[in-house]
This record gives sequence, C-alpha cells and structure tokens, in this order.
Amino acid sequence: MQKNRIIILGNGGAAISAARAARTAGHRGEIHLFSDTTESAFNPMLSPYYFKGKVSWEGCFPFGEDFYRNHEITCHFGIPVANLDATRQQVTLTDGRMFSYDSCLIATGASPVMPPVPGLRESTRALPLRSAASARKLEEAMQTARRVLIMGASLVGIEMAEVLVKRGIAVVLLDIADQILPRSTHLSVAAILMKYLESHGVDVRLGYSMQRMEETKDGVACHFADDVIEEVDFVVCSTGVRSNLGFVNRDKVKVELGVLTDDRMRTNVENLYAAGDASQAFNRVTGQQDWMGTWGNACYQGRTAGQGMAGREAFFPGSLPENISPLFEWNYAQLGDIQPTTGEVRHLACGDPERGGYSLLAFSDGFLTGANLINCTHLAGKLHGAILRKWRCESVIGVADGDFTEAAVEDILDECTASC
Amino acid sequence: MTEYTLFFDASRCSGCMACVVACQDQNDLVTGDTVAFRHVNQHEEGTYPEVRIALHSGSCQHCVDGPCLLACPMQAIWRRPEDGTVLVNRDICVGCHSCELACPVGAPKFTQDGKMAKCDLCYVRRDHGMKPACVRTCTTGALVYGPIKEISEKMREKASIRMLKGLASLSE
Amino acid sequence: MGSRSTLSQQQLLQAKIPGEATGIEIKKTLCAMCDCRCGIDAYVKDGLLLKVEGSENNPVNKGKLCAKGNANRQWIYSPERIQTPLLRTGERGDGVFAPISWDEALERVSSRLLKIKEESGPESVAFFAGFPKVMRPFLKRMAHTFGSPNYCTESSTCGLGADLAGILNFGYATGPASGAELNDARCIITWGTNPFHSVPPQSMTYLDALERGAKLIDVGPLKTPMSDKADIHLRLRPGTSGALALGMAHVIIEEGLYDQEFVDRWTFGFEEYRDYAGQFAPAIAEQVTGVPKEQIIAAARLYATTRPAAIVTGSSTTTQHTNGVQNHRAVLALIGLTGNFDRTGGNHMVPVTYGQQATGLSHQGHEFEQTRPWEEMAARIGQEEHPIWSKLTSQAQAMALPHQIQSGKPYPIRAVLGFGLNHHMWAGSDFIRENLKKLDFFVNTELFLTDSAKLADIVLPACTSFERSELFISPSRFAFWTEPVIAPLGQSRPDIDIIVELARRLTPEDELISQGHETCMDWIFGPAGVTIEELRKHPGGCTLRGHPETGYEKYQEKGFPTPSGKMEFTSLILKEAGMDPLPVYREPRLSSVSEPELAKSYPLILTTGARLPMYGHSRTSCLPWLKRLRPDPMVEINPLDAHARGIKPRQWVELSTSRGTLRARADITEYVPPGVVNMSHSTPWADVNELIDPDYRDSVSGYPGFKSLLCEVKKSQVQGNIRD
Repeated sequence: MQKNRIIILGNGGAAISAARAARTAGHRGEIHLFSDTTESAFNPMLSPYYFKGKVSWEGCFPFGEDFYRNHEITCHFGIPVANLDATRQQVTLTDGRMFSYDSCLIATGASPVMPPVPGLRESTRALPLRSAASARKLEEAMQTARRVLIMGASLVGIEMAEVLVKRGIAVVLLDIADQILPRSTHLSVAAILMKYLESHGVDVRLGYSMQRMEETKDGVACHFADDVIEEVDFVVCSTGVRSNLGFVNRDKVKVELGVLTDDRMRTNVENLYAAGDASQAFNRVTGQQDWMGTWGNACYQGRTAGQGMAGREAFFPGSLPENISPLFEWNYAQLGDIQPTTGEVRHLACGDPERGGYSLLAFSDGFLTGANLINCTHLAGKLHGAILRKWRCESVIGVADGDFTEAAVEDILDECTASC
Repeated sequence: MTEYTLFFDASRCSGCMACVVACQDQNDLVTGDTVAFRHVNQHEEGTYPEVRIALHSGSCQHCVDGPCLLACPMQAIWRRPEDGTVLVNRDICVGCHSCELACPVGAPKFTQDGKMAKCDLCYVRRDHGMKPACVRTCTTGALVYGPIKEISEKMREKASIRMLKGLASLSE
Repeated sequence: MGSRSTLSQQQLLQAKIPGEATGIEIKKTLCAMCDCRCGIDAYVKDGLLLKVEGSENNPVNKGKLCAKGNANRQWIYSPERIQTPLLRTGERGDGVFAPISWDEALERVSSRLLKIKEESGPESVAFFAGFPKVMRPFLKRMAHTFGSPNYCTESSTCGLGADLAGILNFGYATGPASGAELNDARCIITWGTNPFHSVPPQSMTYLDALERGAKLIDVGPLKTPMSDKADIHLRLRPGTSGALALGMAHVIIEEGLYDQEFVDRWTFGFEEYRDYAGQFAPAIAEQVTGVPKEQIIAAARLYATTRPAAIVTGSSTTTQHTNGVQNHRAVLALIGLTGNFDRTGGNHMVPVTYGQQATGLSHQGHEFEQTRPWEEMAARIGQEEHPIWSKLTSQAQAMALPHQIQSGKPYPIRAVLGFGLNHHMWAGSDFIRENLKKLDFFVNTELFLTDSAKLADIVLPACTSFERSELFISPSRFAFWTEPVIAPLGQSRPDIDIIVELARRLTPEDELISQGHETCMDWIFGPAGVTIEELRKHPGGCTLRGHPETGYEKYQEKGFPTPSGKMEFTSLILKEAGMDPLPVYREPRLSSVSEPELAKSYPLILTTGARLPMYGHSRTSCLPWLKRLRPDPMVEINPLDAHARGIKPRQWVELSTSRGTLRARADITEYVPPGVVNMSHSTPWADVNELIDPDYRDSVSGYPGFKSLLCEVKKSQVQGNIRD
C-alpha cells in the first residue's frame, strides 16, 4: 500500500539511495529530505582521494546537484532536526516547523567523536574529517602546516597520514591501543602495516593518551605522560564516529550505538526506518545487529528502506563490516570479524606483502569469519562470499596455529576461493 | 527489446583458455601484459577411477543487481540501458577497490594507473555487429552469445536429450 | 557515454573496430604457432598489427583460434626477437653476440661450409629443420645438391614414426590422423590424442560428431576433455598400446567380428597374427595394460560392429616408446581387421603433398627435394642404428646426431646448419648440448636467442608467418598463398628466402632454387596446374576445384604398395631386416616389468610431453599472456601418490629418474592415474628431457621413449623457484 509522504532525515549515501529507490519503486507522493548540510550529498570516504588529487572537489559529491530536482525531492537544507515524535509521526526542526509523515527514514549518519581531552573540544586546531565542511577546513589547514599530530590510528587516521606525508608534512600518528587499526586488524598484520608506515616517515606511537591540549602562538601543544609535549600545527581527530541521534527519543525507539533495524530496515516503531551510519543492521558473521559503517552498506540499506517506504517488499540480507583502502603503494582490505569471540579460534597467515600479497584468515570452529589482506585484495570478493556462505575448513579444527606451514595455508586459501 | 545473453555451456568447454587470451588481445590497450578479465577454473571431483573434471570460463556476470554499482563511491559503475551491460567510467574511477571487495567473482581488475577495468562484454564490437572476442574465438562453442529465448530453448532441448539418453541407458 | 552514435574515434580504436573510421584493415594470413595452420584475420593499422582473430572463411579453423594463436602479437612483437644476424663473440652458450650484416653473415656461413665440405666431404655438414615446416623442401633440396645426405628434422621424433607403422602395415604413410573421416564415422577411437588441446581447430568436428550420435572410445592414460566425453575410456598404462590393440584384436577375431572378406582377399600373414593375438586374451591384456577386461571387450565389440569407424592417433604418443612402431602397427592393424581401411567414414588414405598436408594433388615435391639418389651420397646419420627409418623415410635420424658428433663414426659431423634447432627436443638434451659445442661450425636460424641459438656461431634472424609469404593447401584443397600483413621486424627474413640466398652461394649450379620461392612452388605444383600468380588473385584463400578426388579402396585396383601387394599383418620389410614381422608387444625397457629392481627406487611411471593448451612445446612459455596461465614447471601426480609421499598441492618436489633430477611444483590432479606422473617439456629451464637417456630409443624408428620410463617424486627440501 502506497503511503503519501516520505520523510528522509539525512543527506548521505543511505538517504540518497532511499530517495532514489522510492522513486524507482513508483512512489508518486512527496519526498522531503532534511539535512543540516547545505549542499548535495557528500561522500566522506572520498576526502583522502581529494586530498591526494585523485578526484576533484565536485567529484566528492557523486550524485550531483540535479539529483534532487530530477527525483522530485523537496529539500530542507541547513536546518537540523530537533525532535522526532515516532508515535505522532512527525518531526520538528530547530526553527520550530513541524512536518508529519506517513513513513520516515533516519539516515542522519554519524559524526566524529571529539575525544574528551581538556582543551581539545574548544580548540580551532582539533580537526575531524567527515563532512564536506570538515574536509575544506583540513585542506586549508594543510596549506601552511609543517607538523601534524593524528589522534587515532583508524583507517581515516592512516589515510590522513599518507596524505600529509605526500605533502611533505611531518606526521605523528598515535593511538591509545597497543596496535594501529584496533578491532578490525589482527595484531600481526597491524605490525606489518605499522612498519610500512614508518618506512614512509610516519612517526607511529602506540599506547599514547593525550592529557591536555594548549593553544600556542601558531599551533597547539599536546601534552602526554612523562612530560612529553608535541608541538604541532594542528591535530587530526580520527578516533571514531558516533551516530547522530540526538533528536531520537530512546524510550520509544530502540537504539544501541545506532538505531536497531530488522531485515527490511524497519525500526521497532511502525513506519519508521533507519539506514546507514545511523543504524545497526544484521551482521552475517556475528549474527547480531551491528554497526557496519561503509558507503556500500549505507547505500544498500538505504535502497532497501526506500523500497519499503514506497510499499515494495524489499530485504537487506545483512552484510559484513569491511573496508578496503590504498596505502601508499599498498592495498589493504579488512573484512569480517578478525577476532571472533566464540568457538575455537584460529589465525592462519601466508605470503609476503611485496611478493604476491599477505593474507591472514580468522576461523571460529573452522568457519571462516574474517580476513586481512595486504596486496592480494583480488581475493577479497571471494573471501567475502566464503564468509557469507559459512564456508568451513575442517583441517583447522583441533590444530594449533603454529602447526600450519606456509604452503598449507596457501592450500586453505586456494580451497576457499576455489569453492566459489 | 530482444534480450541477449552470454552463455557458457560447460558440457563443451575443453579448458583451452583461448577465451582468456583473446580477451587480452582485444583489450590490451587497457589490460597490458598482466591483467586478464576472463579466467578458466578447473574443479575435480571424486577419486580414481570415478573422477569428474569440470571446467569453467568466467568473467564479469553483468549482474542485474550488481553489488559493485552499490559499492562504488563515485557512482562510476553503471548499466547500459540498451542491454544491461555493466560498465565502468574510468574517467571518474578513483581506484578505491570498493567494487573489488563487493564482487563475488573477482571481476574488477586494476590496471597500471590504479583504475578499475573489467569485461565490458565487448559492447562496442556488439554495437558493430561483431561477437564478443571470447565468443568469437571459443574453440568448442562453449561460449555463446545470442538472444536469451533462442539459447535457452536450445539448452532445454539439449538437456532433455541428455536426460532421455540417460534413462535409455538405465534400461539397457 | 556508450551509445553507438556518440562513440569517439578513440573509443573505436580502443575496441579495435575495423573500418574507415579507425583505419584498421583486416588482412589474411596463417598462424604458425603449431602445425594446424589456422587462418588468421590480422587487424592492421599503419603497418602495425593490433589484433588477431580466426578467419571464418578458412575451412581449417572456421573462425576459431586457440590460446597460442591469440597470443601471436606477443610472439611477433616480443622485445626478445633477434633483429639482426649475430656473430658469436663469447663462449658457446654464453649468449654474447655482435650484430653483423646479412652480407657478412651469408658470406661467413657459405664460405665456412664450403671449406668444411672440401676438407671433410659434404656429408660432414648436417642440415636440420625444426619448426615451422614451410621451408623443408628447400632445405632438403639444398642439402642434397650440396652433396650431403644428412637432412633431418623434428620429424625424427614426431609424426614420421606413425608413418613408418603405416608403411609397414599398408604401404601408406598414414600419418597421425590416419585419414580418419570424422564427419562420417559412426564410431571414433581417439588413441593417445587430445585434439581439444593439440588440434584445437578440430574441436568442433569432434563435438559435432558426438552430437550426431557417433560413439567415442578414448584410449590414453590421461583424463583429457576427450575422455570425459567418451562412451568408453580405456585408461591404459603408458607404453602398452600394443598389448591393448592385440587384446582388442583377440576379441574381434574370436567373436568373428572382423571383415572376413577384406582379410581373406587383401591381407598377408593373418594366420600368424591371429595366433599371436590369441596370446592376448582379455584377462592377459588387462594384466599388461591395467584396463579392465570388460572394457576391452566392450570397446572391441563397439569398434568392430559400428560401421564405419575411424581411428585417430596422436602424432607421437604411441611411437615415443621403446617399442613404439610395433605398438602403433598393432593399433593400425585394427583398421584393416575391421574393414575400415580406405573406406568412407573409416581411415581414408590420401597422399600427402607440400607441408605434409594430405591433399591428394599431383605434385613434384619428391623430385624437388631429392636432387640426388641416396646411393650417390654417404650413409645418413642413424642409418646403421635405424635401418628401417632410413629405408622408409627420406631423412636422416637426428636422434643419432649427437652420437655421431661424439664418436666421429662412420664419419665426423663437423657442422650443422639449423633452422629452429632446439636441442631440448632430444632425449638427454644435455648430451646433445655438449656435442653441439664440439662442432666446428654451428649456425642456427631463430626468432629468439633460445638456449640452442646461444650455442651457435652465427644466428640468422627469421621472421614469423605474419611477415612472410607462404603457400598452404589443406586436405580439403583450400589453397592459400599468403602475403606479409606486416613488414618483417628489424632485419629478419623468411626462412625460405634465407635458404635461397644460401643456396645461391652453396649450390650455385642449382638454377631452380636460385629463382626463388614462388618459382619453386610453381614447379612443385606444376602437375596440378596450380600457380602462385593465380592464387594471388584470391587473397585469403580459395578452394581448388576440378582436381581428381582421391578414391577409396584403391587397393581394389592397384593392390597395396607393400612387398606382398597386400596389407601385411606380418611385415616383409621387417622380416628382411631380421626384425619381428608381427606387431610384437614388448614392455618399455624401463618399466616395473622389465626392470623390477630399478622400479624399487623408481616406482612411478614417468610420461612426458602431453600437450598443454597454452604452450607449443617450449616456444611459447615466455609469452606473458600464456606464461601467466602456468608459470612454473609442474609435475602432475595423482592425489593417492601425492598423499603417500606427503606432498601438498603446488609444493616444490624433486622428480628423479636413474639419469637425473629436476625441481618442479606438484600439480596434484586426477588428470594422471595412480602410478603415473606426467611432465610437460614446455619449460626449458626445468627440462624433463635431461632425465631421459639418449640411448633410450625404439630401434625401428629411432624415437626416444619419452612417454614411458621410471621415476620417483619426493618433496623438495628447498621451496621456491630456482629462477628467483
């Protein structure tokens, strides 16, 4: 049954995909899109490519300005949403205006977490990277910078390290954890990547926690334990993101990190959907509703929601958390769960990053759960498929990690990719 | 619109790999020496003496709902309205490899310049009345390109004949 | 972007669309990657070859083209191609050469060879033709006019062995395809051949035959794509074809399934043959060959009762054994036994003309080549060791070349003039390599600086088929005179032109050859009235009409061209030479039956040389598009044997025979049966032929036993490519 008015909160991959999908599915009624941004949809993952000169600034807005007009979307730009009343099915903007809806999609994405370090949140030189505005600020700051500190050796942090190095800017990359890329990357792989970064002149420091930040004449001074002080032009904050859900009533709508959804991207409240970085969806490795913030997932989820809001039956079959990123001359992919918490866990690795590629596989009771791939990303798609298919490797059960030779691991990899 | 398809008849493939090389010869301005859009895999089942060796020639499937289209941050991958061929606009590709991560058959390849390239079903050749290079060269006629209706009728007939032969031999 | 009307010229060029918009022309030529001679559509723009495709108008391949053919551009434009004549300045084998002019090269070669002729007689110079085969008549003519009997070719270990068997049985050089009429046969036996990989243009013919309902019996130890499609796969132990054929004959004779009329009227020695086959009851044949007796019986019955039926053999799979020719004779005997000889849908005997194609046209090829009778020249290389080879072929036996260089008996060989000589072709390839080094003078014509070229004193640069003219006439009489579709690279020249230039200096009295390629071809095909001038008017080829067809059952009129005038189950030629007249089965000299002690250390059967679809012997293994398909030397071993030796997939292993060891990766596959190991000779840097003794040969043909000997495979202590 077609509802009349669709409201989409947000202006990123999920939001746009939903709008397009609703129209393609035949929705003739109104579609209103609300965003606190003022330009067409921006793809945050393109910023590093922009900084490296691989894409123009216009290219970072992949849907273009005409998108809204072409799909008959009524846009309400520059005004954040103050409140979402899921029972009465209406949203209230910060300027007081109210809009009722027949169906609504929460696709407000996520924003960088600004760590609660004294002096940081007030500083104009603590720069996150997410929105178009933040990218512009960073671009400007990089013009005159000579030394930069990056807080958080996440994928964003590492990508920025490459950007800065390529501009001849000295880089200190630090993380609280004892490895770069905590959570998604195995310790041994993180070590290889860290060495690679260091070989390109990145100063990597682990187990570092900033105690306070102070403005200086033309930069900031970052204070650490043991009287260590780093004076830099600015600090990149890449410690992670948090879903933008300030306007959501958590008594009504089920939220963990993001809004929980079912296989049709529906929340626990009727006529209310969620998709993208604002949501949690089915993780096919863990079997849980997890936050899986990638552009591809956001678009797929948004499309599913859009079709549903247009009255079509559509399902999101779930996905894996995964990322792929060039890093200097290397290519690194991480997919699935590299540190399963249940079952008999095995990690097997083989290869050489410089000769044919290095791959590390994670197993739980023989089931492949995740992989880290350096320079053999051509395997990524097949391994992704193997994880989804619940491919099982009998020979890793009941055998210790160290009992596998290089060749044996190669065989397992072969067997896995051949089984497609 | 007559819908066309590229069909692989596994009962004919001999694993000669002409398709792999013909594609490279056709596309080498893009592929160079090391990249191949098509691959031939061999799969063995059973143990001696009851053994089956199956061969498969594969490349981009030009999926109706390709995961690569969704994954690409630049919207650089798109389907041609005429016939659904999935193409990549290398002018705007930034070489992020997101499509590589998404594709279950490993179709996206990357050329020297870091950009994605893949089978384009020889759409320019087809527009000029020629067959895709792999089909044109296939020594056993395992790779076929033609109207879906015609091909699926032929394959149905072939399957029926095989089934009838199989039933006949059971009763011998 | 992407719709037809908006495609830019750049996009059309990238897609290589022929026509005015791009300036790409399609020119016709022939592929020379193998001996199939497929027709090629060459996409050429501004003198540059941009793409290749099979020619649809060519009846050989009908538009199809194999992996090797599709890689022609990497072959032609390889940066490794020799661009000028080269003079060796370093040590033999170092590969240190200096470029010289053609004039200097031709002068050096001819003056040296004439000097050696003067000092030691013309027979001390051997003339060798490797591949391709287009220049052979010219080389042979020049050799004999020069006075040397020693013209030899790669046929010393290729298809002529099968011809010998045919001549001994029927008086006809049957060749590997044995004249099989696949379009009409109701039953086909592929005996030791995998045409899908060795003769790809015939793939459709076989598939069509199967679709038409023809029965297929596949004989061979390997599980090929043909085996999968066969009604019966006789998976025999390598080297036992003779026993299998005799086992089938046993059944056919005992059950009265043979063509009694033909046998009574047109065969000689049937009683002895019948008695001998009587020793090969199916249970015995099973014991020897490993093929279950039920299958032998079923196959024999199927072949004998489904008429007409044709047998196709490999070019050398049954003859590259120490009992090769006799094995092949036993196989061919079945054709006569069942009355399928020279009949429609069976094995039709068509005489071979230029380029070893069975066209049946009138020609003077033999007269062109054999400018001197054998009696006027010294004994040929290998004549004493292999008298039957010498009697029935018009070549020397090149497998005896290294021995004669070493011993100097019956006379020394001081020089070799080679056209594509590749010493890796010999068994004990290190043995010939060492002996080539001992020559006073060695000239090799090549496209690349191969291992053999590096041993030469002078290397002459040849060009590819795309860069030259040549004549090809197919069995269906499709005649094609090619013109170069691109100019020869650098200073490379067509082989025939090189020979003509040499002949002008070495045999100046030979007026015909000095008039060049075209005049000679006109002379050879004079009796058929075919002229190059006429053929030139049909670029891309044309079918010759109005020539008499080769009839069937020619024996009705003329009998068989054998000493007895009949098909000989017992060969009078062999009898006269003091050899077994019957196609006697003997174990390979290196087998667990012949050498049980040795087999304890080398328990696996090694067979070599099976065709890989992406390689043509060793010559294409360095082309990037082909090399990436199978980059490392591989040993194919059955999972059971691998498991027993603790060998895992792709691990580096040591393959050993009693002669030597090499390292390769294990390819664990059911392609080989348990107990059998296969290795290709395509990787000269890991050359399996070094593991075979140069004396391990069939005395009848001189062919090395490449396809059955003993070996062992062990995990290598060292993992990793020796080339790294």
